[in-house]
Amino acid sequence: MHKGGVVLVLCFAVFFSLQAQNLSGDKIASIVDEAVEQIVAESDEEVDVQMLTESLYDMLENPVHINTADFRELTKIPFVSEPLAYQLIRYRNKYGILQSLYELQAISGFYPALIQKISPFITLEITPTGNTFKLQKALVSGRKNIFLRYGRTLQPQAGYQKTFDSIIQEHPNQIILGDPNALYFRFTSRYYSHLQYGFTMEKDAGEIFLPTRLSDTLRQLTAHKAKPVFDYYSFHLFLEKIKNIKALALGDYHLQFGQGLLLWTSPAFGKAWNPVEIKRYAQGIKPYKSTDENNFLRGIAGTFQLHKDIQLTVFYSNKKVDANISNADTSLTEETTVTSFQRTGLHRTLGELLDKHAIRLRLAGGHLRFQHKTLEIGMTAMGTRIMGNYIPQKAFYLSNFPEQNTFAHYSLDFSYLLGRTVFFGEISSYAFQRPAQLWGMSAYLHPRLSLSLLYRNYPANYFPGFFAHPFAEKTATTNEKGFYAGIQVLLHSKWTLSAYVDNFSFPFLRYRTDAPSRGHDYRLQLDFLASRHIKMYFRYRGKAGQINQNTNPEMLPTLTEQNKNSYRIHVDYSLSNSLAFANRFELLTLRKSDYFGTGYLLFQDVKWNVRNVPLGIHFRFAIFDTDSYDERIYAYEHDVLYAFSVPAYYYKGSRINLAIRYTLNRHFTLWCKLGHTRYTNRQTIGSGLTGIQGNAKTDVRLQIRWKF
Amino acid sequence: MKNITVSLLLWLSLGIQAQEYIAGGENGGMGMTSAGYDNFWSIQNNQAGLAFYRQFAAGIDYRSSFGVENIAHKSLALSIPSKAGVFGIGYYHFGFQQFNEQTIGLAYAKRLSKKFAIGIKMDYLNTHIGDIYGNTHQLIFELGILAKPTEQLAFGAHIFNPAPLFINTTERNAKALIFKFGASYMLTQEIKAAFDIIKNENYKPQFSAGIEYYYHSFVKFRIGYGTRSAIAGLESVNHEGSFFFGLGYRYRNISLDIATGIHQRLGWSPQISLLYHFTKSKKDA
Repeated sequence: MHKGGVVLVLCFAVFFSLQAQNLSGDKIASIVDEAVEQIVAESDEEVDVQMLTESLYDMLENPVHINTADFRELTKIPFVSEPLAYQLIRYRNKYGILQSLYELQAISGFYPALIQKISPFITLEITPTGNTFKLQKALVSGRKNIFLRYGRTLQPQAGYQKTFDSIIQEHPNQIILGDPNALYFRFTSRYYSHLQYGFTMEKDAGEIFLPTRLSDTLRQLTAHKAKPVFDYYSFHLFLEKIKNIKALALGDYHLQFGQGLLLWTSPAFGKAWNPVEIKRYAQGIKPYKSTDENNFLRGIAGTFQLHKDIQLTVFYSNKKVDANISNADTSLTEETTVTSFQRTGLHRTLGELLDKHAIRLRLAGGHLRFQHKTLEIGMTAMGTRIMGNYIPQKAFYLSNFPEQNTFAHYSLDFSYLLGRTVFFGEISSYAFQRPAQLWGMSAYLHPRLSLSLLYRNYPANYFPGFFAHPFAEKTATTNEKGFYAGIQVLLHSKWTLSAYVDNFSFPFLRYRTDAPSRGHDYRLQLDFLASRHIKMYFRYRGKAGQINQNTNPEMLPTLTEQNKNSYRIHVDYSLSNSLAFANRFELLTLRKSDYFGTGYLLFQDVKWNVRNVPLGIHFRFAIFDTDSYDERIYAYEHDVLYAFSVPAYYYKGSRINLAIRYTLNRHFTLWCKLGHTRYTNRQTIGSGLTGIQGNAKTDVRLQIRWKF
Repeated sequence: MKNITVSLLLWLSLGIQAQEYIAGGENGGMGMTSAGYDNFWSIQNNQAGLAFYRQFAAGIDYRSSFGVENIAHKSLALSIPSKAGVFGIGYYHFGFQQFNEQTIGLAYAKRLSKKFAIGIKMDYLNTHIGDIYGNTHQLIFELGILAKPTEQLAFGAHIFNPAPLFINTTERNAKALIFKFGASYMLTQEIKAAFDIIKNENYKPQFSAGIEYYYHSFVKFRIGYGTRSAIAGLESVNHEGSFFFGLGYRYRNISLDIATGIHQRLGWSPQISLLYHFTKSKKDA
């Protein structure tokens, strides 16, 4: 995960925790709630809320042992940049272990205010050694959690219609097979930082629950793709820090190496939120507990300490993935031929269900990591095999990826702290062709000023594999070139200015862009902390790109500029420890050749942690008015724990969102969420499978957690 | 073929020359910011800054636009402090044989208080286009102010050609009015930041900003960004900004600054300037 994300989050966590020194379970929950909201609210792309939330709980419950932690662990402490962490190590080497937190003041860079901020996340204790670990005890006595979640859209949707099997066969993509309920069940157990295990079962809205209820013909048609009971299952077992075994995963896991050019299965924070913290902090192997049905590996992986400075990770994954199968020459060969891969994870219709787990994907590889003082060098080698033929779909805007089913990738990454500047980079090669590369630096020039630069060049013919997630304008490690600069300045004790500029170009064609194109992305944000209880910011974001101008296939394609500018004013203020409000006004303008459109969004938030009752209520009323879908505005809204909701507001209307958390006792917590949108200028909502006749849409979600 | 090349260069020149050249490698490395500075090149950029500079020095500046020899900017200048204020002489040349522009100007800057200065410059301008159009002679002036509310912070504003004094031919070749304002701020002894907003009466406003880091009192690293178009008036590339990078080094009486702008599409524009200081710094003398 991106360290920066956690920093911002914890900034709020501290803010709350300092108000209430004794943290009850409910208090921790509300701290984490607030904190997660603060970070994902700023993110435009999908964030793995589950992973983020858990890392927060982790950090509050397992503080960093600053007397024994190594450089990498120290940099995980929020607000502690790499240069500071190194200062601390140098101090420790010279004077031995710290006896008191006040001693930190002797280290240059650790101001009293900073020490106060980081104190909840650090401890002076000496880490207990791994020798006391007993597997049997760990299996039984871990903290266990059970989650059960239910969700549904109340209005009837077009795809849910009872019909004959023959019609389903005729229109495999127009009729939803399952019911509109979404179900989720998860069990996890955690024994300190040593052992985690658990499983997840899920069914999205529209997917089949209990396939035994299907008719025989349908079961024939679906080729028995529907699994018993749920649609999706995941299992994980994860051991950590036991003697020379740094990490060992069995079942589903995440991998993160280098800067994500080659392997980074989990979503990461892009450039959206903190303009300086752009370096990725790869965590190697992590257990996988989420419900994204594609972005993870399934098999076995382990990290071993070979030498004081050297770690080796090996991994093997073997799993079936969703794919489009071409039936053209099945009679000739036994092998299946894949034309494209499906990433949605939805299996609602016959068509989607037939694509489910259509092909097997095998991955194996290793990562060797050398780490000495502040220098880190990593080498990764990975082989991927698609167990069938791979003939990529021919669309002329797609790069010419090879028609083969075995791929070999190599990558080299590094990170080095020199004085107050961190340098990092990764270079990744596929079949020894022109490599994809990324080079960056973050300079903490002064406690009040920091600056980052990043250059990336991903050639159009570079095949990125299936699990890359690098720094990019368009998520993939291919067909992109760009230069980024970000800065953060503390102008005054209450004013912070942050800004970035990203210039990028796409050397090859893209979807809806039939020529090489380019664009930029600017952001400028001014934060004002008026008092401990009032903070506000103004944000400008400008984005320019190029898309097709004419749609006539007989004419030479010409591109037109598309400019999107958004202006936001946001205010947060709290009246007491239990009552807080927020307001936002956002204006978005879109200019595209002769077209000019605008969109507005206004909302009022009320957050109420009821006094003396373990009840938290989040309420929002939002009103919006946009000229079309293109001027849609995104805004994060509160949801049940571990769920993520960033609705897009478009057309004209209003929305109510109500999220409630109730802590029954120390074992049970309940969540409930209701979202209701009413459009004033629409008689139908959406189209296709999830289209609704009427002008209102209501979603509900219920969740219960049992801790024991 | 040669004619096509010449006319293309002519057309390019008209655009590039209108992009508001800022003299000095220091400014060039910081996104071509200039309004809030009090450095030597204030002679060409905002004369009021000269009043705070107060050094007897001579300098030369060369900026190659996108590596094309024929559309390079050249500047020569001399600053002379006196009891009555600071005087400056600046010479500027742009272009090639078929299209060129030369300016010679006399600047004068004076501090009206400890925190405030004004500056003025009179310019004689000669524009030469081909063999047919011949020469245009113009007489114009520039005005600038610089305010320093604190030691670290400076605000400046400058107007180029507010009202033409004399022009011998049609209005077509008349120089445009350009207004800019900006600030520079010394965050610490080592870090300086600056920004500018600049508006040519014919084109959209442009923003630029830059940062300088004085590494161990040895070498200055600079970085900047400007939204200014590479070729003014060419709307299709208008939104494409440039990154700027620079280095500054001083050895005894000689300052050397190198910089480059990197435009997304048109590439590199290296700049180099050299200064010779005849006397030691007389700042706040």
